[in-house]
Amino acid sequence: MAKQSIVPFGPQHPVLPEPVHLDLVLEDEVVVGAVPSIGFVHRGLEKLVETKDFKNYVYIAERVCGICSFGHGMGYCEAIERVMNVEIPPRAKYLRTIWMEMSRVHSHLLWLGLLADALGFESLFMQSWRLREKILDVFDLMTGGRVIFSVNTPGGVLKDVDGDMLRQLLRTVDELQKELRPVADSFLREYTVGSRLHGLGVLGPEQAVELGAVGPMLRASGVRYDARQLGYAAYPELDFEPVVLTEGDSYARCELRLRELTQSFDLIRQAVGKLPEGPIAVPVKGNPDGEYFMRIEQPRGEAVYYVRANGTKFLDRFRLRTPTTSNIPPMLELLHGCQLADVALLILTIDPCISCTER
Amino acid sequence: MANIRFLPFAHTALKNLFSRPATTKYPFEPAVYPERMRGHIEIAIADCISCGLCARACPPGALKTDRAAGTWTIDRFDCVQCGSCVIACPKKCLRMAPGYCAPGPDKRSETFTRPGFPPPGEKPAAPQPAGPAPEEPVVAQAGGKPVNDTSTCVFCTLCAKKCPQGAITVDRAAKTWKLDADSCVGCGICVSACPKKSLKLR
Amino acid sequence: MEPINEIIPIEMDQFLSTVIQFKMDKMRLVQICASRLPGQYELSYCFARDLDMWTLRLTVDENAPVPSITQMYPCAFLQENETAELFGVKIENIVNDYQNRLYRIDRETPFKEKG
Repeated sequence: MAKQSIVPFGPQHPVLPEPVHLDLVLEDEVVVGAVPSIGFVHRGLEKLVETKDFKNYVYIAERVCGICSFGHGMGYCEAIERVMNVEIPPRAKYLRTIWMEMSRVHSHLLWLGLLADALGFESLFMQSWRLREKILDVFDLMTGGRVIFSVNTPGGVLKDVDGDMLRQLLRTVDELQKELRPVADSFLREYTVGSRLHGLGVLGPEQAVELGAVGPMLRASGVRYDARQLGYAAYPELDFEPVVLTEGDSYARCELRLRELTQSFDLIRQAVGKLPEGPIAVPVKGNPDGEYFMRIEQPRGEAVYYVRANGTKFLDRFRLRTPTTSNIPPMLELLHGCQLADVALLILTIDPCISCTER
Repeated sequence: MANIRFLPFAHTALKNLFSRPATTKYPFEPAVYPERMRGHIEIAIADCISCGLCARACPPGALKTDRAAGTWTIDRFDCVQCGSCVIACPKKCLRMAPGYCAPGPDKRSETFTRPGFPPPGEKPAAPQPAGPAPEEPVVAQAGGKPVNDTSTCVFCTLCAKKCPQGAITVDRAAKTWKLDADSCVGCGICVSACPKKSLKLR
Repeated sequence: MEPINEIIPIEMDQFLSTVIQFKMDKMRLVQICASRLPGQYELSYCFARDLDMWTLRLTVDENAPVPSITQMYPCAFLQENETAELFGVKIENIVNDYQNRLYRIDRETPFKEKG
């Protein structure tokens, strides 16, 4: 048996901008064990729900994460609406769906850029983020924010959109789809990219379920589960099929996200086409009383929002289980037997967001 | 090895060489902000009634109002530009304006004083001896809680409808008028809404 | 058809056997969450298969020990450590026990008291 050595990895690492620390147990260059350690940025945002009005807490919920911000605000609002039995107007449902899919586009493009950066492919990184900038501009136009949107409220949305904005959105989506093609080609067909991704970190379907993987991790391993099918917002009225791949390696996770981008473009077009007229919010009267577990599909995977209310304007408990919390155990499994040089890349393929994991 | 392509980015590189850059030269070219951009909070201080609803709605607690001094204070470095105060403001005197807040070397707050109040730092001046005090609009002086004069009240429920806090309950049939003093913020909107002028802030 | 989203109250003596049953039914652990009751904790363990989700609801006294489910679901270790650290729930025999060192926080069990 080779001599074992322990190499600390992170929390500051050139490839990984996330504050996660790993103690890697190495035999020569091969990782045989990894102990994660998080907790550098715990902010206690769940606790704040006890001292903030439940209607104002939505602004805090969406500030849990800078990338999934729209989803966090929406998940919290949907949970509150379920507890209070509020039916939001159809237009609000469609607007939420459009913004959710735009969030997915910007999150996946961000991830693709980071992946290219991890591979040392700087120009591809730049191209991905240049595309992402276009969708952020539309966000800025529609909601007034680039990453934190503050448009959700229990009972609907706060801002309506007009025809000009929708036309601009559709134009941008068309542009993105056209310009994504050469970028996607480089990810999927480039020899250098492929040689780093093919066969790296294979996760089988049984293993993925057992370890609790969610989102693109789970679907790239051949499990057909997409929380969008649960029927929140306007998803039940839109036509889509979860993208599922069977290889379960890093290449499949990359390809899956690229395909989800195309799917999101399609969903945005459908939702804009069907966007009904009408009010964008209903007044919410009184205080919530009850509890609900809400699941929504974030770009990074399924997130769970638990709301427990006691009939006052302060909630008893708000729990947010982020996709990364669930994806860390499978990530540790992937690290077993990989090369030290691939560690950063493997951590990246789960699209980690440690800050929102710690809340 | 069959899928090695020859200069796959040559097309993009050539295109980039002859097209305008994707970025702008920011400090030399002004940034263009969309109309809805949540950049910073502006206040039309003359319309403010120091009701304090904005300060209650502020998630990070960046706002302070002082009814006695007639001031509205914002800590720009704590503000997260969520726009919650703009929605809460009953007088619509707050506005979210495009353009980012300027950075600074230290944290400080900015105070606005309502017209008719002494500017911050000065001692509250004695009532001006000369000239009559400017005519107060009906709502201008907020402070205290509304008190209903039931002899003139017609129980029209307008005050209850206008109350931003839902603190007033009016029963038309039973001819009762009730105030939930805990949730009342003394904004004075009910007073200005009252068609019979039977409400007074006290 | 609406997906199932059900909360099942459960007693401590049934708890581990039900988790084993869920494990054999190839369910995925969705989340673990604690909330505070006067003098008690309420623990919710969510499990899902496809779109359906079942939540096991365990009510325990403040100082009562709770068995860890990391033997069946090793992936529960992060959330169990978090629950133990933030709420002070006495979860026993966690595989990978961080001994209240998961988060770098100044106060012990900050979520235990209200406010």
